[in-house]
Amino acid sequence: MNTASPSMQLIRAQWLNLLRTPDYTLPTLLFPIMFYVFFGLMMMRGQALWLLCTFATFGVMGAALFSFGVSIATERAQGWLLLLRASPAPVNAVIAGKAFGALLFALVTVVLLSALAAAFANVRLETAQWLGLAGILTAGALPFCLMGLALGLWLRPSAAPAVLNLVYLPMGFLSGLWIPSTVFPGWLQAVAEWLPPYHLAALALDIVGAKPANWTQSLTILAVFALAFAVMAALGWRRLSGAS
Amino acid sequence: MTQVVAECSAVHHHYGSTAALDGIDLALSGGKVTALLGPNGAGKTTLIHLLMGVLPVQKGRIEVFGSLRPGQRPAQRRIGVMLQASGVQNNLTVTELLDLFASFYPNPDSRERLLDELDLVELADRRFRHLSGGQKQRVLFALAVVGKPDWLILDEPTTGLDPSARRILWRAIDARRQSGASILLCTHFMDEAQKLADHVVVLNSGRVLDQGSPDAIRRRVASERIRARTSLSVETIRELPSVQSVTAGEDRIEILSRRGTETVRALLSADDGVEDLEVAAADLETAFLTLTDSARGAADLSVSATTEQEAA
Amino acid sequence: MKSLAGIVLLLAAALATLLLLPGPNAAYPGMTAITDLRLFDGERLVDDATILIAEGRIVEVGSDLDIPEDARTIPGRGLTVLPGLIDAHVHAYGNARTDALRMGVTTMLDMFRSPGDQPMVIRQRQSLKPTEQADLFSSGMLATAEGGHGTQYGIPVPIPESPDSAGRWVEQRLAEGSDYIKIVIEDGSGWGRPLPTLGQAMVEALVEAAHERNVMAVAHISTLKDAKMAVRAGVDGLVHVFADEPVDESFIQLARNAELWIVPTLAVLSASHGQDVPDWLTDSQFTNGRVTTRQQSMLEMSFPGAQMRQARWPLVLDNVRRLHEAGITLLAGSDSGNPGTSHGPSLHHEMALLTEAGLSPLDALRSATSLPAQAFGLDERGCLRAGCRADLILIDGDPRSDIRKTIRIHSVWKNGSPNDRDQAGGNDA
Repeated sequence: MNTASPSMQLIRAQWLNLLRTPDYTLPTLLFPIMFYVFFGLMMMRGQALWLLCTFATFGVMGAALFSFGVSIATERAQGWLLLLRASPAPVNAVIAGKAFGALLFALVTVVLLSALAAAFANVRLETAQWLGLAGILTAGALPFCLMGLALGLWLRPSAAPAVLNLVYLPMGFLSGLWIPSTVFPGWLQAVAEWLPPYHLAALALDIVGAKPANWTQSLTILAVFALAFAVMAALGWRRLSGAS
Repeated sequence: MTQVVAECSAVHHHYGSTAALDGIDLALSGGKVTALLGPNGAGKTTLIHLLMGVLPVQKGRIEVFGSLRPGQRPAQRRIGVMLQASGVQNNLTVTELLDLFASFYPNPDSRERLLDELDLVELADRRFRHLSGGQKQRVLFALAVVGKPDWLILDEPTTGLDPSARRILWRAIDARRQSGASILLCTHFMDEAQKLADHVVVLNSGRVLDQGSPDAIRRRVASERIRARTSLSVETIRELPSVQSVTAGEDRIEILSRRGTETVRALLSADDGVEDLEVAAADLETAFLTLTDSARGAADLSVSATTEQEAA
Repeated sequence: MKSLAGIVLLLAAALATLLLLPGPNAAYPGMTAITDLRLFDGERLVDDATILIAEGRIVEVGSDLDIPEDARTIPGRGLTVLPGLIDAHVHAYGNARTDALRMGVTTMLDMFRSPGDQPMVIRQRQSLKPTEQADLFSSGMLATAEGGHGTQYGIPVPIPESPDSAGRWVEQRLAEGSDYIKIVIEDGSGWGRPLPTLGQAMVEALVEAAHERNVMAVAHISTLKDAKMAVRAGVDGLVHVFADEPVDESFIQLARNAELWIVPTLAVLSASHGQDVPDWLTDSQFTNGRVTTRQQSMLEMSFPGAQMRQARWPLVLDNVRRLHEAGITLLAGSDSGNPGTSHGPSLHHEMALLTEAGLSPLDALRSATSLPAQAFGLDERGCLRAGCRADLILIDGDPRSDIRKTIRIHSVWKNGSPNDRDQAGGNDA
């Protein structure tokens, strides 16, 4: 009989769930990879390093939003969350399980893109830079996990995928993750500089040596964003507990 | 165990402007099967959710296992819950779900034993989404009991099950009662309450309408519905033994009876041309509908009680 | 079906992948000697030379050198070595830098590009590590009038508002990493379409602001009139030759006095004046494996309005001839990135066109090596002496007799390492 701790079991359950819903795990994983192959490896190989950073950010964002957002909304409707809340499963372990799944998903995305960049676009970085890139992007998934959690707790499951896509795709584009924001008109560039994905990509670009970033500014924006969604998630959880 | 497993004092609950519970005072004794009866909207689900700790107590007090409050981890560890139309992560297999829930409790039951008891052995590696409704319910029951709970809360556990599956669950429930667990069973099946419960609590409109042993309650509520085509008039039928109420349907008469066999015997002897006779267990909702018919409600109760006493 | 072990395994695999991802290409650790070469050092051509390369730089150049025993030696018999070529007018986007390097262009001077990755570009060109990309210097964003030439490419260009704001405008460019300032003076008259353009006061203010901050100011012009205005305003060089009128004595005087240099950009002008791309440029024997399909299609693209201007082509060549005869410094630049050009081949085309305009092959080679290096202050480039970067191109043949031989590339070396396409020792062409 399996005697693993509840946290481990919840992580495992989350991971199994991701593996077994290829319908939406695969697109979330493949979308940035396809984009990168097309834009970074085929069309603009000279920019392969830059695009690695931006598309990896995009991928990580997707991994976090969808592992959390859609699954929480669905599980809410299913009654799964209710059952868990009635059980002695610690709430933190439930959230941690999901977070771990999201982070692992994010890490896999980054590693895949890095491998593609190294193999096909001759991107070469110091080992410390490869690790730093993976590290900052995986950690940077957390604010988006919180965003997914908050939206998942507030949205209806039928609405969740649509709304999340509506947020994910435009935000990714406007943050300069597909096309560098330097070619945007001035006012649009200013918009980009308020968006969290822009700042996460900026940190990644700094680590690989493409462009220095203002760490204080970028980390602050990411932290504020995370906090705002943490509050929204907490309120969503309270609402859930107050009126099942 | 003879102690009180849960105690509710003056519990009120509302959703927005709707009152769901309107002053509940209830003590659930340990070591017994208590059936919670009531029509839809009576407040059963709300009460259960409060006892489980997934709803916060708005007004009044609830104590479980003596001094614990619902929702506290030590309480949750001793409670097993089976919810109505509950969902789980559909992609997990039965075994994975059991292992997951087993990990939440300090002293879980053996997975193999549970699978065997609930006839789930062949389904052990099947994903939850690929199970039939009845099979899903057996799994949900297993999740409720895997922690060897002192208190089992079951919300409509056998709704939609075929007779053999129902029997499996009844046996499992009884087994736990015998080993000393307390069980709170929400149901709208009179026969289930009759068969399993030591004690019945009747809930309606957010209030405890009545409580007592199953037989005592049964006598106060119509338990069978008879439909037939008959030439007898409604007034005549009303005079038949144990008749609670009579309504004329489109082509058939509908009779609510406290003791169906008596009424049927009388009906057949009064009209030998009776056709399309159908006798079914009246569900509680239908029974309560007649009970709450304002002109007759309380009066009917007292009349029937008197009648019973006289008959007894 | 995955268990916890599966998750751990996946994490381990991810970590392993990250640790094993390749680090920067390592240069050959020892010394490389290329022997028996015809050598053009940026100024003159000598026979029977040997080059010693170590750690990305030229260690020594000479005839009878002592080659260390542990050096790898590459025989250069029959080959001519030139300094890596400098293209003095490009627009480097997409794969431009990689494509150009394969054709022996090791340094590019960009005259308008988005500065987003400029910090990385600067770091790369300061490094001596092996790379597959040409080094890049850039003007970043250009200075033009609202709605003027340069604003039509879909890239939002910051417009200098007034002569008073010139200083701030220049500072912004420098903050973005620009190496020099590019000023566009273009009223469209040479192209038959009127365009708003910067006025003289603005141009003067920009030039002054640039010079105050120790950077060069270069100008895009296409008419003689604007060329004169630019020179009078103090620009250091012109990045096109004018094609509307014959050059006159007054301009030559102005240019001489200002020690002006000019990048004629005959490659793009030949395209915009209806001249065909010559066959030798696209001979697959030399372009196979070096020029991508995309670059080739760009070369084959027709320049809008080219047929209309065909008649004026002789004037273009003639202007260049007379400027050369007057001793004005000419730099080789292709303006690649435009229709009818391609990054790499077009610089070879440019050198050939310069000889058509009267320059000798060696003059043409100087315009692509030592002269732009001097004009832009690129100390270690465009030269083959001890201390220069080991950026070289090995040609099969002697370009003195025919400049077009430069297309017969044996191998390209950047920072002392052979281009990926060439590997150590070059190809067996």
